[in-house]
Amino acid sequence: MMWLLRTLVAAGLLLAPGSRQAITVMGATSLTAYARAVIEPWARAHANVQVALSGGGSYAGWYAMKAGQADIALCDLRFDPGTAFYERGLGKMPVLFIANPSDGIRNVSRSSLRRVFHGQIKNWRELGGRNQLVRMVVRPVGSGARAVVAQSLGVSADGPAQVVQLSNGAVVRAVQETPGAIGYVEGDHAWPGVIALKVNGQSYQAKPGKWPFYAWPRIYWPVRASSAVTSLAHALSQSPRRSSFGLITGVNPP
Amino acid sequence: MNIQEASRRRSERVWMGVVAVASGLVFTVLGFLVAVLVMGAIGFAAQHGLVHTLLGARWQPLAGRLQIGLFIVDSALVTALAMLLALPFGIAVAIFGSLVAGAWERTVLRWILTLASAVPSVAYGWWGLAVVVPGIRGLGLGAGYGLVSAGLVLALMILPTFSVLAWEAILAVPEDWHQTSLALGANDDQNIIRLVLPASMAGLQTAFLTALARAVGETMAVQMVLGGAVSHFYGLFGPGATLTTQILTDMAVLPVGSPNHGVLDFMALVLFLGVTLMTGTMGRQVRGRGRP
Repeated sequence: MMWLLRTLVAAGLLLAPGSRQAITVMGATSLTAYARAVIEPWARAHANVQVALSGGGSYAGWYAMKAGQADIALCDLRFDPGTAFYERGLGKMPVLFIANPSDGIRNVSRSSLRRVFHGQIKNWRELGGRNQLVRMVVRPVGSGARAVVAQSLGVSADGPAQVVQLSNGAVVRAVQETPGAIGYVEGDHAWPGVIALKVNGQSYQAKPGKWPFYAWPRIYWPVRASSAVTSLAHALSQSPRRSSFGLITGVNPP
Repeated sequence: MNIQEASRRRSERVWMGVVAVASGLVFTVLGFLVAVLVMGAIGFAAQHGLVHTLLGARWQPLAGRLQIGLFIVDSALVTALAMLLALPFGIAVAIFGSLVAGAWERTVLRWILTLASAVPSVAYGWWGLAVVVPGIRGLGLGAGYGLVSAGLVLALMILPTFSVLAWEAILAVPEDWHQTSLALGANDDQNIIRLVLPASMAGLQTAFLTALARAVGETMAVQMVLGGAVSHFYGLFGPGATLTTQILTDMAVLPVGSPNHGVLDFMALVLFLGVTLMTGTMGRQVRGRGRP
């Protein structure tokens, strides 16, 4: 029996957290790639701090931070920070509408887009496209991109049949593969196999300044946070790497 | 009592203690899990109403509309589809493997089934995205994401588990019984239908229950092909959402500490009670039948 006891004690010592400070960053999945890119060099420069990063969504990050289970919340939706939390904008991130090439649509008016997402337009032929049923691919409730679309187009939750996908990548894949599909994604990546739609003749790529659909990602952290948390929060909110991840900096949230 | 005997008894007592502690730990963890679910669910049901929540079909978590009737219906439909598809094939595979196949076929089939039952569910979901969804779409039956796609993926997922357990159940029928049946003039089909299947029914029902429990609880593979529509029932080929997939999806908007998080506890408890009730009821029937 002694060997079992020794093994357990050894394992306990190996797994003990030690004296390193732990910081948890949690929130919007669309921001985790950016956060990881900032956290890695920051953690190398702060060897006594261990940083854990997890997605889960803006709400999960916000509530975890409020409950003291996370130190920094990454959000692509706005929450009221009150006096207990700091809020910093990370810039703005475009929300683009993408369509399957078989739809035969390259440009839509804003009102047509609203009617599409309300389920009033059922076939792309009604907008001058091919004879193809409209199929909507959307993000779940709680996604920043969905909130932007819902607010901009006045789309309610009780819409027509929609395929819900949990990530940008899954939306792109579903739109690529489904004839008649339309969806929306955050960021200005050149997604292969889909058409980035112009809205009212405006293309995001040609004139980003005129584009009307943007999410405004933010980070939150407690006012009474440790100096390490504050340092990491500043690194996240000020990093020049933001532009590499589709964030447009130097703008103020509405 | 000599020294060796005393040492053996001491060792036995220690191991019995370890076993007792381990069992107690399992029951404690399980009790804690159920207690957390029950507390969250009771708080939620007291506030929103039990019948209203169970039978309604309005789901807007941020607006406080939290009715799960549609998810219960979709869960039942997806599970029923999967079981209907998997059962005949599973029994066929089990009969072939245990009674018909030669030695090398048996070895290969057993190896494939064991391997397939160990494949992670996300791989089945990926297969669903790559094969089932485009296949259904190609038949002109909608976007491809829907209850039927989920049922097909789930059927493939539970088939190996069901087949292996059914195989074992059929093997448990004594060889003498086969010989007697054949000696009395039964042909192979009569032997299987009139003797093997009834005699192995208790084991087959256990296999069924295990497969059913896996089907009801599966989340990831189903989520990948189901489509996630929560507002209406769009038919078998339309998108939908089950209890498990909606818990996964809405964990992001109803995390612990948020208002209405209790609905997720409530959904998990409904799932837990549903599976316990089904397996408990059918399990009693199985025990009633006993061994062949």
